[in-house]
Amino acid sequence: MKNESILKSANPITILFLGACPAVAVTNNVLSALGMGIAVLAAMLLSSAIISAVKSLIPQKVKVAAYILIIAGVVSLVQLLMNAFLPDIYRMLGVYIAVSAVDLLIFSKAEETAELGFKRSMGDSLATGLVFLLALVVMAIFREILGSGSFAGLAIPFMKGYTMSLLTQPSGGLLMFAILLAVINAIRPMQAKPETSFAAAASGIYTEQNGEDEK
Amino acid sequence: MTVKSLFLIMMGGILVNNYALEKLLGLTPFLGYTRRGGKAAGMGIAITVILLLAAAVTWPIQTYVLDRFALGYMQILVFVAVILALSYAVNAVLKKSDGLGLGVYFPVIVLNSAVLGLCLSNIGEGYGFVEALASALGCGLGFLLGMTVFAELREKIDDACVPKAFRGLPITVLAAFIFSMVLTAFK
Repeated sequence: MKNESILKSANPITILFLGACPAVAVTNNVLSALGMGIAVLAAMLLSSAIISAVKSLIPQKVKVAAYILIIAGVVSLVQLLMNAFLPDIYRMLGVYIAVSAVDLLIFSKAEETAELGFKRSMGDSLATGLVFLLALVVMAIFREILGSGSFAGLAIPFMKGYTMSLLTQPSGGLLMFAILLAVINAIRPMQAKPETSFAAAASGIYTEQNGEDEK
Repeated sequence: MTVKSLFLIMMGGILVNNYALEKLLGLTPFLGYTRRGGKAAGMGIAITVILLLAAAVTWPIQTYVLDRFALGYMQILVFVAVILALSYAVNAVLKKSDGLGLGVYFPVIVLNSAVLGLCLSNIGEGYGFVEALASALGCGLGFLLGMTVFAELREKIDDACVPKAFRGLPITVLAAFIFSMVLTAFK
């Protein structure tokens, strides 16, 4: 029962929509997608843990600012660790690892953490992070094999001469993103549920889901 | 640094390196807030204003504080704090003058990867102060252009008959893909 509720909260389309910027930007290579996914997962778990530890100390009025600063600190930490131990992947990710400080996906989890308990929020962050990681890697596999004819940097011999360089461009990323979303949508349509959180307001996901009612 | 190079930086920000569609920063609000015309233009203007302010404040901080005292590792934290403080300040000023404040635009500005990304890439590219302002203006106008055009585009999609799996977000991303390919032509 408990597991089911965790999976339910990890709706892949919502997750991908909130994390759209890294999902499209870094998936032209399997290694960078893996690095980004792990960085987001680590930042999410760490910031959720810190926030659930200090949430009683944070006044309601400055909640948003406090969360953003905590996440920025955690992301700085992840960035420095990556720079030290995985310099190649760090260079591939460029500015995208730094801007996860204002990543909507991480922030939305931080916001939920305050309402859920420590255990549930950790489980929730883990599930969300893994779904995001999986989606990034799936996109990267298709984009790298079809776009540059290689896998994780290693060239595939029989793909030579049959590559579509469009897929390595940002616009090709959007194309692959649209296809992935459509596949998920066909398997498991997104349930419209009203969101009132700050993260939902920042992403406009509320207007996205309930567009029909607006007319 | 001539007027021509500034103009090139600005036009580059609008067309070649459009933040939402080429650099893919700020993609989420770009997709989320272009549903009906009205809000898209306002959002673009709000982002432009905050981008200019943020670029004008973060550049001196980086040059005269972080670089001088070798505090480069604090960059993300300091920039995020500056953008946060600026957004709150703009919100407070607007509230005093018209009683409304930033309203719906506030969360989008605070949690916008384009604003942080631009401040960071201004430093990364080694721009001077005026160049940083020019690139901020270009980035903001690029957002404004992209959002208003895309909002018009989406009104057409709303009237069209879309396959079931593509309804909602997927078709929007697909439209963004085509728009992004158009901008690739400026490269």
